[in-house]
This record gives sequence, C-alpha cells and structure tokens, in this order.
Amino acid sequence: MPDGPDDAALVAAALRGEAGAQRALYDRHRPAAWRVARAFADFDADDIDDVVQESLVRAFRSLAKLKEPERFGPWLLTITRNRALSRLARRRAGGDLAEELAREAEVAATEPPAAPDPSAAAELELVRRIIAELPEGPEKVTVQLFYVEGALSAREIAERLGVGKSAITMRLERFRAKVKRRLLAEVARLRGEGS
Amino acid sequence: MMHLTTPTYLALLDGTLPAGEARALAAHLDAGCEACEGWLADRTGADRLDGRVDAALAALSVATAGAGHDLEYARLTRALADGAGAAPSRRRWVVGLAVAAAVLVAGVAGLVQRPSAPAPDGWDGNKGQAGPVVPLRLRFLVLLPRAGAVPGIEKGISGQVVSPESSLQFQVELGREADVVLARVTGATAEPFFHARLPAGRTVVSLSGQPAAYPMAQLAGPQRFLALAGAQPVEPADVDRAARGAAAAAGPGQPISLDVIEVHVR
Repeated sequence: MPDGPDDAALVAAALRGEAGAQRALYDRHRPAAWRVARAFADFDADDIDDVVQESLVRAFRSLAKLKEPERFGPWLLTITRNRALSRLARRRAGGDLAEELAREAEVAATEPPAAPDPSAAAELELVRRIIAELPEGPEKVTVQLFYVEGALSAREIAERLGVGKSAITMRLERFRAKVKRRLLAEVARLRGEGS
Repeated sequence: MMHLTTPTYLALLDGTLPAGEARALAAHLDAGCEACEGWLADRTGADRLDGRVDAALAALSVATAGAGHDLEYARLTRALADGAGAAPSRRRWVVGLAVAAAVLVAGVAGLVQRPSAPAPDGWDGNKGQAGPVVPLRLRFLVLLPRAGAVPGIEKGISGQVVSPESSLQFQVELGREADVVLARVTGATAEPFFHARLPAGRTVVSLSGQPAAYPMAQLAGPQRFLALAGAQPVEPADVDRAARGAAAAAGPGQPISLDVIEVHVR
C-alpha cells in the first residue's frame, strides 16, 4: 500500500481543489503511466513523455467523471494505453477511428461494475504466479527485464538482447495477453460466485 | 463452450453476465483458450481490464524510474489552466538536421531563423481543438566539442546534465504562425536572446543562415530556458511573468503559450 491517503481520498481532495492532492496523485501514479508507455517499442523518450503528460492532463481534466476513485490508478493507465495506441495509429494511418474508439473506452472506464472485482493485491499475486510459470526462454527474460527489473524500455531491451523492436513488442504483448486472459478468468470466477 | 464475444466480454466486466455463464467462462479461460487470448489481445482500444492488468504489471517492479518532477508538473498545471487538449509538452526531435555547422554564440542580436515544414506525423498541438493558445514546443540539441571540426550532437532531454564546454541548439515548434521569444531565466528575471515571428512547423534558431547554439561556458548549476509564443507580439511583461513562474496565460492581454527546458551545467 502506498504511504499517505488512499487514492479515493486524494481524488476527493483534488476535486475540492486541493492542489497538493493532485500533486500527490501525480507523484504516486506517474511512474506506472511511464512504464505503460515504455512498453511501446516504437516510442522514443520524447514520445513516452508526451503520452504520459497527455494522459495525466486528460485524467485530471476528467476526474469528476471517475465513479470509482479508489481505482484512479487503473483508470489512468487505461487512458495512458489509449493515448499510446492513438499516437501509434495517427502515426501509421491517420487513425481517426482508433482515436474515437479510445475515447469511448475512456468514458466506459469511468462506470463502476455491478459486481466486485478482484483486489489489486490478488491481481498482483496472479501476475507473479504467471511469471513464475513461464518456461525459461526469451519471453521470460524479456518479461523479467521489462516488468520486474523495470529499468529498461522495450526499445532498450531490444538493443541489449540484439533483437528487433518488433520481437520485444511481440513478446510483451503475448505475455500481456496471457495476463489478460487469466485475470478475466478471475473476474469470471468472482462473478460466478456471486449467485 | 462459446468463445469470447464483445457482448459477453462487456457483460462480464460490467457484472451483468449471469453467474452460470460466468462460471463456464472462467473454466474456459482457465483452460488456456488461445482463441480467446488472441481475441483479447486484438481488441481495439484499452478498457478497464487493460488498466487493471497494467496496474498489476506496474506494481511488479520496485524500480523508482519514471518519477515525476516539478517541471513536468508545472506543464501539466498550465495545460489544465489553459483548457487546451493536451499538455504543451516537449521535444520530439528529428535527428538528421544539418547542424554540424559552426557552433555560434547565441544571445546575439539579429538571430534569424530557418523554418521548416510541419512534421508529417508530428505533434498536432491541441489535437483539433481550436483555441486562442498557440501550440508550442521548445526542443534542443546538445552540441559537444570534439577534437576535430564537427561537434558531437545528442538530443537534449530536459533535466539532463551538460558540460560547460557544450552548447544548446534550440528548435521551436509551433502549431501556427506566432511571435516567439526565447529567454534564459536567472533568478526571477529573464534574459531574452531571441525574438522573431515564426511560421507554423519547426524552426531551427539560426544566425545568418547557420544553426546557432547557446554556449554553456561560464554557467553553472541549473539553467532554465523559456519559449513564449503568442498570436500577437509577446511583450516584455509576458516574459517577466513567465520568468517569475506565473502561468503565462493568466496575465492580461493575449494568451501566451509557454514551454520550458532545464539543464544542469557541471
């Protein structure tokens, strides 16, 4: 758990106009947003900073729409991923459609579910388990370097391992898809127990 | 068992999927369905599940990299105050400019500029939101002396440490034509060293057609450089206000865009 007030309290204080609360949210969650943007191997350091800044501005501007203030972190990261995807789409093909979809997703993310989700601690434990279960090999090395050690960007990992950027992107996306599937299974299990 | 579909997926996330279906889906996903994994990976746009996955992944690392800093936070608060669509963020330098020319002393009256076309895939300022604030970015290269005619060049990142032997070459990027002032901040005052009307797109600050650079010689410690832009001429009072750390757009008169970079000389 982070030191200081929890996110819900900080969001409430930020909405009351307390500048210190907004700054505390920024300090607490900026590193995670930065890590999300760094997973995109097409991005250089400037792209990453731009995505992070745009995401934070959007989040703070939309704070009043957030219905689950205790989920500020995941909500910010959803916005961050959408900003990153929009940036890539714009670069590759103009991407108006992706932009619109991203905006819709951001709005959807503000609505709370009708049933409880797994706790953040349970989700973290699940991710640790998935990593432990990975077979030894390039994917595990990449995941360890990027997510566990956390010091290198996807682009820097490609350089260190002597492989193309797309290979690193693919490994990280494959792992992430696995985490998504397993996490969704946990959500489904909780929903199934709700009857 | 049916694979994931958009309605099923959304109902599951919303908590409205019947419990029996949810249990069946949990078993199906736990069995390692590659089709569903691929379907999840291919979804366009991120949603609440992505956010939670990313939060869990981010929590794995104890690395402290990526922490925020005062300069960026100041940019964010300015962007929020401006009501613009995006933070007036900084520095997407396209390397390859013919900047290996002589390093010239900046701070000299009569600096001229060499405009270039807007970047094809570059920054789009306020992202379609027409507003009174001119989209602005200040970028820079660090030119390093070398034993030879051609200096070393590296892309500048705000906050980086530079040597007193180095020089900074500035580039201004505008969303539309504007009056631009570059200034170095010393204490609460600013020393303007460039003032010109620039076109939309990227402009390398140049002297007599040659790229110019600001020498770090005889400077020490943190050095902050400001770029201000306005549709109308930027006034000395605007520069002073920016140097004092006030939100440039909050002053009287026209809205002023502001970007800032900082280097540490040692």
